Amino acid sequence: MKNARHVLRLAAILVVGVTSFIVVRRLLVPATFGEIGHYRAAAIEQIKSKPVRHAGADACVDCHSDVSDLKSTSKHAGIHCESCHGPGAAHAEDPDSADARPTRHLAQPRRLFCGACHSESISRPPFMRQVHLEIHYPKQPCTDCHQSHHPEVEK
Amino acid sequence: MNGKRGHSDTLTLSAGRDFSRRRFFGVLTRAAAVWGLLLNPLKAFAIRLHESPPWRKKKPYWGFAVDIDKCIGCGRCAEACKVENDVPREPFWFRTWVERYVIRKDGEVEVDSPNAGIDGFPPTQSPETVARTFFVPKLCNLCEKSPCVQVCPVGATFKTEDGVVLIDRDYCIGCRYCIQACPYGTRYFHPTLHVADKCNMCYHRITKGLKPACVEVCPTGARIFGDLSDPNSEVSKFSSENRVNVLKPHLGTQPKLVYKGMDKEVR
Repeated sequence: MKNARHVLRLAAILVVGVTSFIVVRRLLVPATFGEIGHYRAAAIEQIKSKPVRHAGADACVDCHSDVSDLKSTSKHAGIHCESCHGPGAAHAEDPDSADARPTRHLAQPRRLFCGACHSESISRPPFMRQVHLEIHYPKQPCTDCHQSHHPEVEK
Repeated sequence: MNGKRGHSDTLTLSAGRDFSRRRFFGVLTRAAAVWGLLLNPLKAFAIRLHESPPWRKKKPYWGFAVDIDKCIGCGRCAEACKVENDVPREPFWFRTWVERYVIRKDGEVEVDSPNAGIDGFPPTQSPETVARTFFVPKLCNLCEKSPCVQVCPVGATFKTEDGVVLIDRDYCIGCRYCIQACPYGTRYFHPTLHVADKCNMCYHRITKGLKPACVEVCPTGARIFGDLSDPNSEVSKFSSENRVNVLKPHLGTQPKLVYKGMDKEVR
């Protein structure tokens, strides 16, 4: 009988230990953890729900088809609107709001802005059309001669 | 057992049956035949199933490619990324950035990335000594075996079923171990949220059918994003038709970000 009491005591300790482990684990491990893998499954939905800032190329064409038609025949054909104009999701959602208009193309002086791609640099690949900003009509804004949406100069 | 084992040519098993040497060799031959014909191919199949790339099994499975020959170093990608993902504006924190490599004729390699290339690059000094120079955009390498995921002590960074490595901001404890572990330096510590942060391929965009912001704004198409499980997707075609390589292949991280035209000096 004495030996049986020892065994029972051990069993009780084991039961208490296992139960408290399960309870503590329940409290500490967040909901949805481990549903898919070793992470919170809910985090995926959380990350997905972040609002979009750049609307994407197709969003602009619906209203600005004239610009996209002009651009499609030029050297700038492959460049998406938001490359120069900045994020446009807010503008696409509320086209009438003046605050939501993409204004990135106005943030810098024109010559610096165009120079981001077109200023002379030995690191740029040779296909890129480049000019020395100090030599190439240094005082004039680029748009005096080049139309941004159709930059080829007509002679 | 009768203690007579090894002295006669019959072995007495505990079942009590006679097991002649002749029968023993017969069984052995048959067992070898079964092993060879059945088990080996089964095992090979199991290994192939286990090791075949995940994009054979799961759709979509995202991949990224960079054409170094097309990168003009304009920095539009880094700028768009900062806006799209609320990355702090200060020039220490980036999810993607453009590096300029200048390799001199004496073999010296110079790498710079002032403000990720957003404000352009200063002119290269003494251009007559330059052997070759080019721009390399950097971002999360989409490792199949991500060191950052392996070291996270709480499971706050993980690889999704579609192959993107994400960070759970609510569950990250800010221990910075993953920042140390990433061999490509793509992670940074967010100064106000106090969690690790990095490129997540604009997961909020790609799950809505849009391209990542950097791909969207790249004027020359140097960045290509798409579904590796679709053999006709732009990224699959680009990766299979061009000679591409990954960064630091010796580390065994198996990145799904591939580079075309990568120089041996690129790290």
